[in-house]
Formats: sequence, C-alpha cells, structure tokens
Amino acid sequence: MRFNSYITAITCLMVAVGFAATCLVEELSPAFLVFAGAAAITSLAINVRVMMRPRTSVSAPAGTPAIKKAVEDGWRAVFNVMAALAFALFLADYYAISQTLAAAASRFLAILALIKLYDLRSTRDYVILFTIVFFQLIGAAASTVSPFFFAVLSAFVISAIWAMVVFNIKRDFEKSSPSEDIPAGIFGARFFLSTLAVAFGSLAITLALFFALPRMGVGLFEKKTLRTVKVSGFSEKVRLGELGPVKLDPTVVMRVEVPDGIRPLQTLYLRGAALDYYDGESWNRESGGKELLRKNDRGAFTSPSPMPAAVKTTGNIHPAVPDGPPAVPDGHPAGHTKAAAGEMVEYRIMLEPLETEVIFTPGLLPAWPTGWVEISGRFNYLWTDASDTLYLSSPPYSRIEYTVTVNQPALPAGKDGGRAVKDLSPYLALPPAVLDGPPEAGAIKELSLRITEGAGGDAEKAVAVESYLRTNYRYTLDPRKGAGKTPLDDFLFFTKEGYCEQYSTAMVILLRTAGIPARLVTGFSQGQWNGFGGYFLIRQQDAHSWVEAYIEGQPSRTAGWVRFDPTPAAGIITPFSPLPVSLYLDSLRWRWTRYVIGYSFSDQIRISRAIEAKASGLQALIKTTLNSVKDGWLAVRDGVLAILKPSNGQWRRTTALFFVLFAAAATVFLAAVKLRWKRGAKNPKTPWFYLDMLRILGQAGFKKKGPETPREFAQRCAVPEAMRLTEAYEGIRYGGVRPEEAEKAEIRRLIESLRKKNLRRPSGTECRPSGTSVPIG
Amino acid sequence: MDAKEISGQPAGHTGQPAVPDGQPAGLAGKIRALKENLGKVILGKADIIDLAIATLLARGHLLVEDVPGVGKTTLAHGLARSIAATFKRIQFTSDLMPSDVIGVTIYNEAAGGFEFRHGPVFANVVLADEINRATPKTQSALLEAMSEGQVSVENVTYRLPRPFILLATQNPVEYAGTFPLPESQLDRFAMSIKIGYPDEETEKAIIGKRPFELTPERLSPVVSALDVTAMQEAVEEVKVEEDLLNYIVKIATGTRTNKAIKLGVSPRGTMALHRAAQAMALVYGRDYCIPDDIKKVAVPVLAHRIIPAGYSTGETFEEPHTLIEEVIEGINVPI
Repeated sequence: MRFNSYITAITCLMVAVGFAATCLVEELSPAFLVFAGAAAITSLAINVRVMMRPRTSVSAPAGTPAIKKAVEDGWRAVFNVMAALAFALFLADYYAISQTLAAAASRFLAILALIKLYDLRSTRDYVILFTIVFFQLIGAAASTVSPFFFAVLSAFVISAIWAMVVFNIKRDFEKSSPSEDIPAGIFGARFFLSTLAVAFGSLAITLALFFALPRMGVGLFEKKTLRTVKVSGFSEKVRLGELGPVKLDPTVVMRVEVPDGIRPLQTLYLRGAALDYYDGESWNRESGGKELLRKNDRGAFTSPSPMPAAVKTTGNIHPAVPDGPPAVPDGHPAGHTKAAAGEMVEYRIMLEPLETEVIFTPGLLPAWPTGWVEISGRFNYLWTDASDTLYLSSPPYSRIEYTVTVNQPALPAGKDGGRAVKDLSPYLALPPAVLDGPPEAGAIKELSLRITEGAGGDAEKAVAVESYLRTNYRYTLDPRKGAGKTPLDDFLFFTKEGYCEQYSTAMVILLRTAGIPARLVTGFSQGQWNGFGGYFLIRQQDAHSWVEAYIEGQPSRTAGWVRFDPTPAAGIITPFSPLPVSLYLDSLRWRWTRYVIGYSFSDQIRISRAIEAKASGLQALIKTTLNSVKDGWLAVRDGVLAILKPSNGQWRRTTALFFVLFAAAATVFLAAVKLRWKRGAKNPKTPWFYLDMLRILGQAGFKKKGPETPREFAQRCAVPEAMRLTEAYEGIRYGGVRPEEAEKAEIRRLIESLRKKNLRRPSGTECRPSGTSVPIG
Repeated sequence: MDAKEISGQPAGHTGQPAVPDGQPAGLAGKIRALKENLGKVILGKADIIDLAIATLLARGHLLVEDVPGVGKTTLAHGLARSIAATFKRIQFTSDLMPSDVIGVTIYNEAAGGFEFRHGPVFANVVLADEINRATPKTQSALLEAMSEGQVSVENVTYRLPRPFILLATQNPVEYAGTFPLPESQLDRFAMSIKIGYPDEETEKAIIGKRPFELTPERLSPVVSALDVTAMQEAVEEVKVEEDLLNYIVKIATGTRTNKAIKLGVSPRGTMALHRAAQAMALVYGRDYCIPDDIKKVAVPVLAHRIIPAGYSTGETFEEPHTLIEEVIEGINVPI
C-alpha cells in the first residue's frame, strides 16, 4: 500500500464524517444532501483513480515550466472565484432565501468542501478541507440534539488524529528527503489500534469530565431553538373538530419517564388544560384569573391544595369502567409495586416545544386527576387557575424538562380534591345554543334523564353516562356531517360517530343537564411504552380529551373532581406500532437528551446520592448492563428489516447512519488490508514494493515460508522480476540503501510487469529443496 | 539494483608492494583474486573457499575436519600461500611438545645469555596438521595464541605477527591414538568445515590435471598481510540491520532451548556468528548483511560448539550440523 492510499482513505473518512454531520442539520433538504453526497463521491472516485495510476504518467501535460505554472495558477484562480461565489450565495441565502444561519452556513460549508474536493493538490488543500469538515461538525453541534452526533463526533476524533499523524509524517518526510517515496510500511496495525485507543481514551476522559465537572450555568445546547411543534387544542379556546387532523400526526411531543421504569398497569393521562364554557361550537375558559404558584425551599413549585394525607386506598368509585387494555381495578397498586399508598412518586417529563404555554401533569387514578404535589423544572414562573391548569409564562422555545411528584394511589381525605372550589356555577352552565338544539329543544335534557334514570348518586349517574357513550357511539376520526345545528347535535342524534372531543363534549353537556358540575380536559393519553428506556413516548396522535366531574358523597371523601373517559378504548390505543429498532433508537435519543444535553447540577447530586445509596448495587448494575446489551441485540435483530425499509420521516437519521457506517466500513477495510499484509510482513520497515511482490506472487500460489530468506524464496519462485526486486529490497531493507530515481522507476516497472505476468506455479516447485546450493552474492 | 560494491580501502591502509601488478585494486577485487587463486587448487568447492576466506576476514581460526585426501591441507596451505605473509606448518604427533610449537629458551654461548628461540607458531598463517594427534598439553599450548594472538614463555609475553590465523585439520575417522579437542578449544575455532567429496565431474577434472597443477606451492600470493588486516577492519564496518541482530540472537537462543541439544552456543559463539556473517557479506561483495549470510555461516560456526543430548551417555544422537539446521528452520527470517 502506497502512502498516497492512506491520504486518500483518510480524505474519504473525513469527508464522510463531514457529510454525516451535515445530514444532522435539520434544516437541510434531502435533495441538497443527495446532490452534495453524489458530488463528493464522484470527486473521491476521481481522487482514487489518480492515486492508482502509476507515478510516471501522472506528470503534468508537456510544456515548459512557465506554461505549467500558468495553468496551475489559472486553475487556482478558478477555484478561488468559485469559493467567492459560494460565499455570495451564502450571503444571499442567509439574508434573503432561508434566513436561518444554521441552514445557510451548513449549505455554504458543504459547497465549500465540494469545491475543495475537486482541488486537492498540495498538503495545504487537505488541511483546508479538514478544517471545513471541522466547521461542519461545529455547525451540526449547534443545530442538532440528535444522539447520532456522538457517533459522528467519535468518528471525527479518530479520523482527525489519523489525518494529523499522516500529514505530519508527509510534511516532515517531504522536507527531509524530497525525492524519496515515503515508506508506506510505517503504519502497522499497531499504529491504527493505538490511535484508536488514544482516541477512545480521550473521549472517555472527556465524558468523565463532562459528567464530573460541576454544572453552574446553563448548557451551551440549552439556548438552541428547536422547531416548535404546532399543536391545537390546548389553548384558551378549542374548536370542536380541531383535534381530528392532529390524531394522524406521529410527531413526538413528549416523553414521560415513569418511576423505576416499570410500566404502570393503569392508563396514564397527561392532563393539560381544563375548559369550562361551551358555546355550541367551541370550548372556552371563563373561570377566573391566573395565580402565581409559590416555590418551596427546594426550588420546586408546590400544589396550592393542601398536601393530601396518605390514607389507605378505599372505595372504588366507578367499578364498571374498563380502563384501557390492562384492566386492573382502579386504585389497586399492583401496577406500581413501588408506589405504595401514600408514597411519593416522581415522573420525569421531557416536553418538546409546543405552541402552548400549558404544561402537562401525569395522572393514573380517575379519583385524583389533579393530584400533583410538587413540580420542579428549569422555569422561573408557573401559573395556575381555578381549573387546575398549569401554565408557563410563555410557550417554551426549546425542549423543557420537569419532574412532577405525585401522591398517586392515595386517595386524599378531606373535602376537596384539587383547588378549593368556591363557585361551581361555571361548570353547570348550559348555553342556549345547546339547549334548543335539534331535532327539538329539550332533546338533550330528555336523553340525559333517560340515561341517568335509576342511578343513585352523582357518581352512579356519571358512570351511567360514560358507559352509555362508550357503548352506543362509533369511534371514527372522520365523522360525517349530519342534519344537526351543531357538531354536538350531529354526534348525539344523527351520525352517532366521532372521536374523543365529541364524546367528552357530549358527556360534559349530559352531566351538566343532569345537574352534575363537569368540565372538559385536554391532554394526551399515555402513548407508547418504550421498554428500552422505561418511558412513554407520546406523539401528536395521542392527543386526547376527557371529562372531569365534581362528585359529592363518595365513600372516601366528601367531594372532589373525578376523571371520566367516555371515549371507547379504540380511541385511546394508538394503532401505530413502530419497529423495535426505532423504539431502541428513540430510547438512545432519550438518554442522550436526558443525560448529556440536559445534564444538570441536580443530576450530579442525584447520581452521587444514588451511588452512595447503591454502594452494594454493583451486581444490579452489571445485570442492568447485560440486560440493556440484550435489549440492544434484540432490537438489532428485529431491526434488520427496518434498515431495509426505512420508515417515513427517518431518512435523515438513516442517511447519517449510512455515512457513519460507511466511515466505519472504510476503517475496518483499512485495518483488514493492513492486517493481511502484516501477516506476510512482520516489520513496518519493509518497503511497499516487496509487500506488493509478495502479494502478487502469493496470488499466483507462491507463498513465502517463515524461515525462508527472501533470496531463497526468489530462487524458489524462479521469476526473474522477483529476483531483481529481491535484490533491490535487500539493499533498501538491510543495507539502508537509498534508491535513486532510475532505480525507483525500475522497481515500479518490475512490479507492473510482475502484475501483468500470468504467473502460474509450476508443479513441484514446492518440493524443490530451498537452500544449500543457492549462490548468493 | 546491485549490491553496493566495496570500493577504496579503509583509512590507514596503504598499498602493499608485495602484491603482484595487474591485480584489481580495492578490497572487493582482492577478495575476488583470493577466491580465484584458491580455486586453482581446490576444484568445485567454491562454497568452502568462501567460508575459508570469511574465517580469515573474521579474524577467526579454521578447523577443517574430514577424511584424508579431500584437500584439507591443500586448502589451508593454499590460503596461506595466497597471502604474502609468513607461513609455518606443524605436523602434530603424539610426542610433540609445547616448546616445539611455541619456542624454547636456550643458552647462547656466544652471546653469553639465554635467548628465546621462536617456535613455528610465530607466523601469519600456521597450519596445524592433524591437531588431534598431539597431547592435550601441546594442544592447550595453542589456546593463548588462538584467543589472544600472543604467547607467554617464562613470564615474557611475545606478540604474534598480524594477521594471525590458525588452520587446523583433523581426521574424524581414525580415532585410535588421538586426543579429541576439548570443548574450550573447539570454541576458539571460528568455523569448523567439512570439505566433502567432489562430484563426479570435478573429480574427473581433478584426475585430468597434472599433479603439479594442484599443489599449493605453485600459487603465488595475491594479497598482502596488510591487505588482510584492512579486510578484517572492513568486516567490522559491515552493517547488520537490527532485525538481523535479533535473528542471530534467536538462533543462538534456539540452540539453548532445543531439547535435543545438551549444551547450546556460548555468547562467544554468538559473537562468532555475527562476525562471520559480516565477513561473509564482505566476501560476497556487500557492505551489509542479508539473512542468507547468517544462514550460510550458521552451521560451520555453530555445529562444533554444541553437544547433542545423548552424546556423552552413549545413546543415539543427532549430528550437530543437523541440529543447527533444525534450529534455523524453526526461526522466521525477518523481512
């Protein structure tokens, strides 16, 4: 292997890393990346071809040195003009076209790298190219929070070290002996392995520092803006029918880490906004103003309602409710073995930037929908209102993370669940538009009476309404238009089909008609369980709405808000089932965001406490590690198909993955080639041409035996070229002879002629005694 | 690309008038002349001639061991005759005394005092014919001469002329009335070679010649004693690449770890192997060693220095030279 091949290989590696980084920039279009990738591959192919050509024919076209220099200068000028044009394009892009710095800069860097790729002549050109790659990496770091960035960064660190070493050697060698070929044999497998070791060592130290250094400020990545996810249904006003299109969108909005990573048996509801006023078309919030929540001495926001005392789980307020597929009686703590009655449990929520200031709180038990105790996160203010909705000051501009402490399974004693309710009248209001709906005024009242007939208390009435809606209406995301005056009339009397919004609106109205205070709650259902990371993955399509009713006269407490969900199970369970590998990748992303990007001082304290507490937990750690390795393996196994058909929306990740794999494959290939030659040549001092000769002869069936001297081997092969090359080799290898230009040309010619020769091992050559009577000298 | 020719002479060496005109100048030429000269009387044994010259250049002593009549004495004598230097021949017999070799102090009546009469060992080239026929006492008288290039008689040390090479022959077949050389003495021979029978073609050529043509006496010197010294100095400058040094050491260690060898090679043997390989490279006209040089000299340098397992207990044992070859076949050549 010639020295130049190393340079080409390392250039390939670096360019691949640069493009992998570019792929991570989320603003770039696939078309641009495909174009840039194709151009890069073409250029590399040209480079490889030039490298493969024998040196003698590389010489520039005939002409005097002056003409040659002029041509050279001309080309350089052309490339400089192109670079200037690219810069102009960048300015235009930034100020006029895309107007985002990340996209414009990434595009500019990619184009600059492409121009440089076609103009690689001196060492300086390579250095410039690698600098561009470095900036591409920085660009990616600034505009992505993808965990793939770590892979790209690792690849960059390794290939950059190689590049530095190779180019240093090249420069020094050219300085000390300009006419010489650089001996390619200086790189053994040991060199590559030790570089790898150094790179991984430095990465490990960096990681250790990252996790160990005290966190004082906000991370660099914190400031970055994610694309905001447009959502509807969580603002002050929700039009009926708005949630429908949303239910088809697989964009991830939230991840909810449950305590101990054990999947709860009850369905998890993420409560967003509660709305009280319905005007026949849309829901509004009318009840009262916002109130600022106080922070306690730990910097966490506390619930305005009195801390619920831990009492034993009693009564079951609506036994008939089938609550999702893993139907377990409500209030039964079986799903949460750790969360025994009265025990505080902590949910960690990572919320993508949504276009709403509402934040979501988890709830499992219907009887305690607003039962959070403490919320802590990196926001300064948290507001609430009479409907127990929680607001930030403004919609977040980046992903936010917060923890919610819940006293979940314990039913609070006392008068109230949630805020002290001063005035229940807004939750009983029925606008005229509702009451005189078709077919005739009073139809809703009639229906309400019919359903609740025979039910004892408010709780029983509510359960009756809930089950009536569940069983008599058809769930569809695309309800037809009926003859009714309002969407609600259509749902109740004409088409009898709809989704969660229609169901819950209908239930609120029916309850209010029956004299039970009720309100509509929007939020998300639990979404998808990710067993790899122990969290729920919640997408836009998991948007949901349900009902809270104020029930008096329960066995466990006198009065309070209770959650009801009239939507049939079909509406809660998302049909979408991603491949295990995508779940695994998402869990990686979760960990990356959770433990790297969002890594904070409190995490450090938490970790150090955990280490203290679990001093004896090494065994458990090993078990966990093994399990996660096993999980990873299973995911990979199941995911082979997924790689064959990358699902929609994953192309960016797939492309980045492709480049990383490409770089890895190139590395492995290099190492393999290196190792193969190493077997023949135990010493990096061996000149390249002798290794080439051994390889060519080896392919023809002549294998050099270990104890055989080069000369004995050449004698045995009886190929004239081999004899000549061996003599040259001996002089260089053992005599330290520096070959002159003519000899170098001769060596190249001999290798070429050896390559072209149709060598066939004569039968019986192997048996010829090697040795004693061979004349040497 | 050819191996680098040795041209010019090392510093400090001046031309030698004893060499007849018309001989090629330069060390390489002189070595070639030496080879050609010896080739006139030893037919078909170029290898042996090369080894003998290498021994001379390595400042070593040569033991030629073979049956009578294959040219042992001719080789030794021929080598001596090819050098313009003093030559003595000692025929060893069982009644040969040390003083017969080294010299004796006698009373000189005319001068009125004792004087030292130099023995035959005081010569540049000494041929010790049938060395195993002498008693150990006489054999050991040669020890100091061989290793230090000097002899001590009655507290007076006499330096031997430079260069000094001892060529000994011995007949391995007739052991009756012989005293096999002790290990310590064998170790002092740089090489021990066997000439072997000539092939049929050569033998025919030999008998086709008149007896006079094959006598060493007809040879005329082609190099001077100073030339030989220069060559010996040049040998020390021959480059041995580091991996080849490792190779040499591995061979030496290989003889020590081999189960079939009772006594391996001493460090003196390793040194001899190194020096002989350098000399061999010079004989072939190179100023650097290649693995083939080492392989070439390994058996002659090492075989007489080892004791095969079972040798002294009377069990069957392998020939030393086969054992050395086995050791070499087990070591990878650095490339």
